[in-house]
Amino acid sequence: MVKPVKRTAAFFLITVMIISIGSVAAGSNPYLTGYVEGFFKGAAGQSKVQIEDYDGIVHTLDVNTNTAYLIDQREVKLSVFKPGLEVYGRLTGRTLSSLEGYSTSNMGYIQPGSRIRTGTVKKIDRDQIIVSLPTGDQETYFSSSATIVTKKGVNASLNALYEGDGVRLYFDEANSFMISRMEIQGDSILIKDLYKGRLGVVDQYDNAVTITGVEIFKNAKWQPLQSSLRISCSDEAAIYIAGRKVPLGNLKQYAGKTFYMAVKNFFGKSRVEKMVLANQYESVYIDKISEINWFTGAFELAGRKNIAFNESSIIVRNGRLVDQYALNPLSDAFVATDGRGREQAAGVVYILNEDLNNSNIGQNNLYAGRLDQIIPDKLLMKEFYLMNKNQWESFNDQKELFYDNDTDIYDVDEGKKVSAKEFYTMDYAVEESSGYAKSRGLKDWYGYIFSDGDRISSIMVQKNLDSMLRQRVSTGQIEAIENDPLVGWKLKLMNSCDWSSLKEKWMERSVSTPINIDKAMLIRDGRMVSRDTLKPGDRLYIVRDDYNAKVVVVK
Amino acid sequence: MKRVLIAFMVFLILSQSALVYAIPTEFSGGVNNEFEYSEYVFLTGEPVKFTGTCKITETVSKDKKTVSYRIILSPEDKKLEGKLDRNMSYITTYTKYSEKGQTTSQTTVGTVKETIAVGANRYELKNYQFYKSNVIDNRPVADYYNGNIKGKKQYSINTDEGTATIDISGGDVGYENFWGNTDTQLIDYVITVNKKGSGANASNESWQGTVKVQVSDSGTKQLRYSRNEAGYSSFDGGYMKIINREMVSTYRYDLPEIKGGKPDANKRKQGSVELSQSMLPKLERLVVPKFRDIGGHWAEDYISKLYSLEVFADTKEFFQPDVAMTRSEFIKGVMQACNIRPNIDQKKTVSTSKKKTAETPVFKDLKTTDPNYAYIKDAVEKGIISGMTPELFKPNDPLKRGQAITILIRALGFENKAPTPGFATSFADDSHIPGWAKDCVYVARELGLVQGDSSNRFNSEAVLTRAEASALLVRFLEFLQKDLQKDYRENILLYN
Repeated sequence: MVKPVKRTAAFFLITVMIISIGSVAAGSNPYLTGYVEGFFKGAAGQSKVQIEDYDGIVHTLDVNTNTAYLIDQREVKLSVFKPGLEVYGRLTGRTLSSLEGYSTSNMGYIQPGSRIRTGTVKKIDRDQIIVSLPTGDQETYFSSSATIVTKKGVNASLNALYEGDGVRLYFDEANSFMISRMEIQGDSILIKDLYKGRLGVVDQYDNAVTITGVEIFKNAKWQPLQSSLRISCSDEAAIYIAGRKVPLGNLKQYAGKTFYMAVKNFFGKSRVEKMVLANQYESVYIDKISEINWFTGAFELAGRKNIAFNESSIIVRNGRLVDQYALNPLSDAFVATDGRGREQAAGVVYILNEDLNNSNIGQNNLYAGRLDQIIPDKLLMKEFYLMNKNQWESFNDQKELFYDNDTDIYDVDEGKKVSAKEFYTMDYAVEESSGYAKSRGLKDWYGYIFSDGDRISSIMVQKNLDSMLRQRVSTGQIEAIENDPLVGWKLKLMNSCDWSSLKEKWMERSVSTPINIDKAMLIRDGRMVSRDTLKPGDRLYIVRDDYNAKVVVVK
Repeated sequence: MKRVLIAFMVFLILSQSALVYAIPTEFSGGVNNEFEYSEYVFLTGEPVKFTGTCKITETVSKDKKTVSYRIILSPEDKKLEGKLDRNMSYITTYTKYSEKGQTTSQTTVGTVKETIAVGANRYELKNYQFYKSNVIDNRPVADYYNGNIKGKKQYSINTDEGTATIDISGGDVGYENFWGNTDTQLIDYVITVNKKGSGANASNESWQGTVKVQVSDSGTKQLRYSRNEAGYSSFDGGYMKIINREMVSTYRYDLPEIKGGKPDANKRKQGSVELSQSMLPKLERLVVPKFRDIGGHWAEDYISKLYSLEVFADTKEFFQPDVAMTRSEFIKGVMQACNIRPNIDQKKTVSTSKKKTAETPVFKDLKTTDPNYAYIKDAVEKGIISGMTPELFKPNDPLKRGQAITILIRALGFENKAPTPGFATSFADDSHIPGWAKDCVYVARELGLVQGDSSNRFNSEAVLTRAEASALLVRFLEFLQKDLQKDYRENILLYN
């Protein structure tokens, strides 16, 4: 009886061992698990592949025409697989139904700067920039101190950006909204002229219209330009009739009607960017927009006049064509309306407001005052003035500003540039009560300063203080510029406005203004520039004493 | 004699076809139309505009192209005496890498002869070295290319009064498809003039200046509706194809201030000048659609445009815009819309000239007699489609949104512009977008070809109606016409 028990026990033990061994083997048996993972070894003929699993066992598996081959979720052919590629295969029955390889080490990577967005700046709020895209969408992007900004191919600061500017934004990551590089469209974004005239011939093959009785908007009024003008329209020209956008081909039946046109320069030729039909009678207002009702799409001028506006209105701000949402209450504007009686719709809204800074990104300030103390890298001003809301505001205080080797320093009395070392070693700031100063009759000099925060970008120094009360701020566009042998550099300013402190509004001038810039500090792109760099069409922000400019900032 | 005649005819055809392709005239930043050529010359230290005529001759052999320019100009300012006489040819040889779908080209200068006279100065070109190399990526609906330019021109001034050297460096970028082509060159010139006056007035008049030249030549075909003025007509109006070509150029210079003919060592003159010329538009009227069921439909314009282009060849009265578009019809539509037809026609001609042998269809569920077979086969060969399975195409299955986008992006050759795998698209239903479509959906959104629905979903599995597919195809054509032009011209020139 003992023997059978022994045999049974031995049989049981062997069975258990076999089962357990079988279990271990099943872990790496693809036919049992339904999958195989490891490394691709190669194709064995047309219908088999070899895969070495992580245990080092090489499996030769069947494939057929329905087997799906993928590398990183992308469909490929079997021939793309290279020996050594890490793979995962799924089996259906005894055949591989799919084989996926894993090759990408940096998932979701794009070439830095390869994601690009092009659009128009709709809103700037510090580091947030809302951009209208060609698709009609709007997206918010973010700038940082690391954002590289260029304008016309030259490095610029973010302060150069205006609402209405065309921008090309580059991103380093696939789903990032942080701008790594920003290109700002150059002067081609500017509205060169505003025209008014009667529609003549429409050439839809050449994208051109002929206008008769052409008038140009200049110095706050329409002025005759020429009797007939053939002008191209851009491919994307927005043409509006009764608030509705229409294609150029539909204009034919409006021949003889008056149109307003916003025109840009396109490689030396004028081109219509926006065109609006003036269907009834024109009225013109120059006033402050006191209130905007966004629900009814109308604004009220300070003179209690209500004017409707919509996407068809030509709205120009800072020389750029902007959309209706860029209108701000308290803006001073030239408005040409179309309508009759109380029903008036804005055909053209030309915003007169201009500021030292282009947006709230800017930290530029204008100072004027006595140079009390100059030490290496630092200037202390006493009894200084700060340009605040387009007028000098005086402070009986001290102001600390910093300069460096890149600061442009100009001695206007001597007519020469001064180095940073000369600036503090020479007698631009002295201790007036000292024997040294008294014996030499030295006194502190005065300066006009253009700063970026508390860093002096440019400073113009002179021996005597000007009368600051006489100075006023004007804006305008250069109509002509010349170097007169008798009076020096002078320019003619058109579409100019003066800031009225009393009325707290921009007052449009009805004639072109002559301005002498021979003894002025000229600033362009944050740097002091020479007079010969100014050119017709440049938009200026000027601090002037009568006809003599003191500070000219090219916008 | 017959051979000579054929060769002559081929030469003529090739010479004429050269006018169609948009490539800026020479490498001087000049622009031209059918009547006039103009460019700026800076050798005197001042920008001087020259205008006149330019005759371009192009000869093409198998892997070689020779372009010759004969340019005779005079200063636009009639008070200034002068003449520019240039006889130049450039030889380009091509190397094809068929398996990679790419071509490279090398361009060198052939004939060289140039004299420029401005006022009292005469500049004669003594030596000109020029090298240009491009890589062309040949994708199904468009070729994209990018190249580099290096050259040097050396002139003598008044025979023995000195030399003027122009160092040329830069590159070009362009594309070419049935709906448009653009070539934009960005070239920098560094001009070095070493001039010594002769005789009693001998003085050193050496100077150096730079000129950045940006020039673009661009042609597009646009569809525009033309209304029938007559009321008693069998049709109200129809579309026409307008073929435009425009050249624009900007020279941004930094030169010495020249006073009394002598350069001022301390003063610079910076500025820019621009040129533009347009060719007379060419017109081509298209057939008129007469469907009875598309009037007032939201997609009426899209369907009419595509019918006019013969993308839809239906001769029946009803287009049935709200019926599902089939996979086979869409493929044919894409191929037709992008004019990928000559290849097919050519193949047909070849096959008919030989003894017929039974062709194995590219998919099991397709017959070679299927009217759309040639298009599907060509699309497979060009890598635009790969079938539902390796064996089945399912030609009559309704077209899904994900499939349509994949087809269009592959046709553009842009599927590689997606990030490396492992990314997510910005659509809310990203997880439902199949792996094979993800790259293309991501790229299509980047290009602005697709947008999400009101819930920002892509809806990859949604069936496209014939109307929706028409709208998508027309947007695709606009991309080929306008978006590419804007990217290769405005977005480069207006931002640099």
